[in-house]
Amino acid sequence: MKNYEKLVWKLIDREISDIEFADLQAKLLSCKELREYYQECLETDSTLVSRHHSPFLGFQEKKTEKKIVPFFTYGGWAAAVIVLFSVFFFSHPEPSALLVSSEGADWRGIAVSDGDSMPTDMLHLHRGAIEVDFPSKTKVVIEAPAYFQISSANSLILGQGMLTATHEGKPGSFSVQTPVGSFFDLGTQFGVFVDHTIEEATVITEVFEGNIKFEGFNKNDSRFINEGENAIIKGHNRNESLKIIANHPYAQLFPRPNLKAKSPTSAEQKGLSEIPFADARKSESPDIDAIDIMLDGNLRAQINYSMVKGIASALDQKVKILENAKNNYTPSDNITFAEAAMRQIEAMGQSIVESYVKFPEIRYWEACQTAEVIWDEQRNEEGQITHRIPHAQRLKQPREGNRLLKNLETIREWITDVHIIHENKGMGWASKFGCPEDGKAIFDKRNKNLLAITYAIDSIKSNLD
Amino acid sequence: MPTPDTESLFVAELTKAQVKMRIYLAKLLANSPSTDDVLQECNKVLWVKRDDWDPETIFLKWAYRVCFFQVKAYFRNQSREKLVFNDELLDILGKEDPDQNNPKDREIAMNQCLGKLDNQDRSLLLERYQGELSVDQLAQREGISPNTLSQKLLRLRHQLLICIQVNLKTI
Repeated sequence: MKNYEKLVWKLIDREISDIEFADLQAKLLSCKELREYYQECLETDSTLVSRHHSPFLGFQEKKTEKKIVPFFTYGGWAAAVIVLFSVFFFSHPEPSALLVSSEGADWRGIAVSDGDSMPTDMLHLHRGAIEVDFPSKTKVVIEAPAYFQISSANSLILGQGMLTATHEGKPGSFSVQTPVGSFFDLGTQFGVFVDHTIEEATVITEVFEGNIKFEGFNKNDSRFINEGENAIIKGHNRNESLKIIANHPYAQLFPRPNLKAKSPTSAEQKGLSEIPFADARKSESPDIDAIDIMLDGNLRAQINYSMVKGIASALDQKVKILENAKNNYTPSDNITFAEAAMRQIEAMGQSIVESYVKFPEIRYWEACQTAEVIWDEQRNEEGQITHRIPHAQRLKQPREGNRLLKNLETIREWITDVHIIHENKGMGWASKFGCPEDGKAIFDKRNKNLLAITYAIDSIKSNLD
Repeated sequence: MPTPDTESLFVAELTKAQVKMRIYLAKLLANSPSTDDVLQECNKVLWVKRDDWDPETIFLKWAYRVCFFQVKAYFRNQSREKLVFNDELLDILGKEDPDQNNPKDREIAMNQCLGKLDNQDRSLLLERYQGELSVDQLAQREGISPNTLSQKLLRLRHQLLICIQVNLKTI
């Protein structure tokens, strides 16, 4: 490693002295190779900081609450910027909302401290939660990840994120603007959750107490939402009508009136929202696959999808056998399940890597459940259902579905366990004759299989067409 | 006036360009801690000027030009910035084509290369980027001086970089 290359890294780490900087600058001016090296260093640095998940051993990254700028996802940020700008780009009056307290707040860009007035700039709360008091006698708790803007003394714009507003002031004096329209508080407590893809914004709202008024950009989309009711509102742009689904059992939000109230755990959320919904579907709906509805008219894609389902089912059967064995396994002589089932696990890995099926080409929506069937019902005057029409609706949070993706991840986890054992016990461990050379060859091959399975998983996750 | 279609296309291009734009800005700003703030400003400017973008042209080239002028504006307004390249070098760095590799390929190549490092080195490097411990704290834990640790990290990253370059040729 040459001296100037070291200086480049010192520059990137911002540990370079003034003299070294002057020296490096002169060299960068004259040397194209060094400039290319500088570029490469920044690329490597960026890849390292944006790395969230690794297939390798012992690479599990712990979550950190400390403010570290490099951990950053750019795409979501840009999308949120666009939503905010495209919908609400205008000048704002003086702010007077106050940041009362925060909990593990990690800001990107402009940071606000406890006790400060909230600025009118767009803000990005990367982690944590904050509590803001508005002069309109409204308390708002915003939970990360959130992009928002305090637009006046009695309103805010939520581009992405979750908030709970508790309004004790004059009815109608506080509002929350979202990409699909505005919510006016009529003396109540309510929650708003905003998320969006590039094509579509989704807002979920639930009224915990009192009632609110929603006004879409189109007058036909306005409505009142009362205590205990919720709504999923989806929209593409201002010119198209919104899609509003009222009182959907999957749309439950959880109030957080102040920072002392904790967010529900995912298990609690699951218990309250997902399970009853799944049960309700089971009892009322025939077995229709949402993806088949979406693929209507595309016979080729339908056949491909059926084949993937077949493969998923076969794989699931084998994985379940091993999962059952794992659940019933009692370790003896400190032999773990991964060690005892090493041959079966290795075989499973090889069946993926040396398969007839090109796993990396499988699409994300073929490998897990990304949509669900929603029934449009028509009722007669007596309230009895006269028509039921199924249609597909994308899920905000994909489910396991046919478990293809989930099973690939399980297999990778098992192989990783075996790999760790192999590493800890020495190279001769996996060889029938305890030969380190043979063991090393097995180790290397397994490492390649791990890479290939990881590649397949990552590819499936990126095949979003 | 852009149509909804061109606006969607613009959003898609801007979203896709974020990683590359940030690296480009980091290069011109000598990896200043303000890089993210300048990126935010660039996004604003790009959005305001979105009518100027011709969808027939390469988005990134246009975005880089906007970033370049935002960096100049930033340096004009920020006299506190310690490490500032001179105009001549800034012009050269701004014009040179950034890396053409797909970030995804780079990530795959890097994963392969991390696998080649020994466990201790790999953990050290990843811990450094995980950001929970400072170099001083890491050095103390490892029982070496911060300077020795910094040198080791420089060497490891250099090693990783060379390996990635080789791997990228085969992906």
